[in-house]
Amino acid sequence: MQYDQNRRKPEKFLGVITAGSLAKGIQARIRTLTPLEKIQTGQFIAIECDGVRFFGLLTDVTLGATSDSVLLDPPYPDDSGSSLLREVLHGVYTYGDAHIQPSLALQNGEDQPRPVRSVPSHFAPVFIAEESDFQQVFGLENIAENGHKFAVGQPLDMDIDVCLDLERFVERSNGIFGKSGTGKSVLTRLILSGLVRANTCSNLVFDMHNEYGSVTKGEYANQQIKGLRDLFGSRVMVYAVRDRRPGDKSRVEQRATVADGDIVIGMNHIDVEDILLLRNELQLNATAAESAYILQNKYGDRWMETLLKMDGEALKEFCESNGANSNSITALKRKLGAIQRMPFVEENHKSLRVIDEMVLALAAGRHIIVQFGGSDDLLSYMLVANIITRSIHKKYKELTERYKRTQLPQDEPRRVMITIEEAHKFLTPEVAGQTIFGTIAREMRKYYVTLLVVDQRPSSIDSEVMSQIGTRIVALINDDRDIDAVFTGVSGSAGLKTVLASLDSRQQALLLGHASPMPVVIRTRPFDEAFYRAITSGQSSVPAFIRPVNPNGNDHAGSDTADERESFDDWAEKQLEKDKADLFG
Amino acid sequence: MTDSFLSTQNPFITENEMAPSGSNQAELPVGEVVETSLTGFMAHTYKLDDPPPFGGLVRVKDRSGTCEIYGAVYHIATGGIDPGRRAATRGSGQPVTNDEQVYIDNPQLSRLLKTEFGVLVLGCCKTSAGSRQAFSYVFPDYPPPLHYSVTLCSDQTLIDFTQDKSYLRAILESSQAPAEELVAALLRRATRARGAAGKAFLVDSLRYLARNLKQDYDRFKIIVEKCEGV
Repeated sequence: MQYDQNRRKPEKFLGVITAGSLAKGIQARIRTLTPLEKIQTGQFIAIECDGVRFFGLLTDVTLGATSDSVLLDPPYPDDSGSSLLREVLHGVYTYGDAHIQPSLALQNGEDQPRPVRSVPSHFAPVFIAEESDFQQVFGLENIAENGHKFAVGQPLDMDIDVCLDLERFVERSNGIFGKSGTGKSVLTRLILSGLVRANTCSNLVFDMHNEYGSVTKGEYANQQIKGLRDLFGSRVMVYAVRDRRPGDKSRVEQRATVADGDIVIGMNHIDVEDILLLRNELQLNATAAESAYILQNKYGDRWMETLLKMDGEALKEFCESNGANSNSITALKRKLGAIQRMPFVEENHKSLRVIDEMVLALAAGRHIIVQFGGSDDLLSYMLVANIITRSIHKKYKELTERYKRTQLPQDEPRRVMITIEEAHKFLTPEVAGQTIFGTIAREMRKYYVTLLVVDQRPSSIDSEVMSQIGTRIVALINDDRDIDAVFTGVSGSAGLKTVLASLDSRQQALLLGHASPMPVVIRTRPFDEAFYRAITSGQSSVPAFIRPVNPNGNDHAGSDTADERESFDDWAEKQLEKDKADLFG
Repeated sequence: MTDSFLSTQNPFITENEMAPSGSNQAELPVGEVVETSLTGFMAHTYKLDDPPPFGGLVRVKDRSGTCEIYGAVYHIATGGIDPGRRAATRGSGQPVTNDEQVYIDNPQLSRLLKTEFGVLVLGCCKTSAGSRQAFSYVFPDYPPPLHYSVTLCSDQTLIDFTQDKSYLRAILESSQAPAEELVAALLRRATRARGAAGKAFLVDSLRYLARNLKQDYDRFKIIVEKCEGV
């Protein structure tokens, strides 16, 4: 074999290629002297061939024997001479086969490895990858120098960074999956930190459990985890869903930090689509949709308000005149009462000014965390997330279409990545076809909006959505259906499944997809003081986001008129320019 | 040092003379070739009952003097010089305190009896100006000449010769020698000659054997068991 023998340490030698195929992975006979116990799945492998270096992932190790007679009459521990016999049998009569899923091939004279399209020849030597291989494949972290390579962790057995290409990461929708308690939140916080620091896109985070904005308590005693707001200051804006009505003294304010704004939603902004998303949570039956559409056709955006105000008589009348089922409408009314009681829902709210402000901040390169404070029930979460996302979807569609018309570089919308937790609730096969998240996951990439799906039950996510997910970061998952779901749309996943099932339940994750050149198992980078220093070093400060002074002095965008909206747009235009100048020089 | 595994102990020589004891051991002739072929040869010892040990590495020069032929002792026998005359009992049948007494009482026995040993040729080595070149584990060009002297090799030579494992295959393939016993005996000697490094050598050699005996696990297992506890 023609490779530089000096480049590789002899102790990293694993064996030689003996069999396999590109589709099913290749097999290597493990060298006699490497104890099988020391070979872990998930390791990064380099194969040296004539002129080509292959990189792959060790997916499995199988035991084999050349002769059945060894297995029929194995040396038992109490046999005389069994230890010597065992020792000398190993590697000859009994052996280990390493199963390797090749991912990349580096041709001689090229810098960048490419996806593999060939297999190494017989008896090509196989090595456990060394630092230089990792550097070659994953690059070096350069986020502090305003690059977009972000170290998300280290390989299992080495102290070298594994980097994610954040530029590529934001090009597609992405997913972070894992069982409860396997570190999804930590991973998400880590990725978000990287995205905020690298500034490759704006982030909108629907933070159901108030984990990302400000300091939270860690899993261990006295462990304090900094939030994104603490790390990045005014780059990150925190909005909170109003968790008590004005003047309501009975509820204690629950959110920890002062937010940049309160989110209030008027019933006139709630679409039938939003309600349908909550079908399971509100226990709506199939006819509820039809009833709701009848109402909407009749009353427009005031349908919900009108319905909730109807008394028995009015209901009856409406049903008779519009051919609706009265039982269904009554049930719908009863169930929508739950939404009416939410502290952030108001009867009639003219504009969604706070949401416009968020859209603007996102377009200007800021990052927004929507906290749910005391309203962290799934119902509020889904409702708010859907409504906000719908506005952003609409806005971005306009922006993109304008950009397509003008083709001016300054008109190019800034990418937005929307982080949603409990994503399977939004993306179940029943609702994914209808909800805005389904649309974004499928096609909004063209409109500069992508999703970061955080979920513990990927099997409940529509497979059409799963197949479009670019980069997957997967912590331990045990359920077979979830594992299958995670690998939807990934070629050569059979071997990776073994790797996934063998992850530790903490701080380990499998990285695969668009932003990672090849699948790799990492120890997640700890979210600690060292990380805070690394991620914030070299960061320029950004002035606070100044919102327009409301003449009424009302902090909530409750009473602005159409005239004010005009001036707001003017202001917004200026603010956008200013922010862009601040952030991008 | 006790050779617990040696089947043929010579009572006439002291332990010190017999046992290999270090690399500076003098290489003395032990016998003379009396029957020769390319694959092996027979030799008579100079003294009665003083053969090289079973599994011992011996060498003979060839006629040109530039090639040494190496082999392992696989057969040792003592009998009458005249094939027609077999040894008969000499003792009285009374309990004896010393079996050696019979040789003292019958000094002619050392003339009437002879000790012969068989050597399996395992390889050869070119020599020039008294220094050895690399061993080659092939048959020599010519068999060892008759009446040439056979020398028992020192430990160091044994270590050097067994460094490459190819010689083991020649033993396995031989039809005349008890292959399993001979392999085990040779390995035990070479292992002990190496001292602390012996274990690794033994494992390495056995692995080499295992690769050659892939289809015959039972035979391999026998050899391993015979090498156990060196």
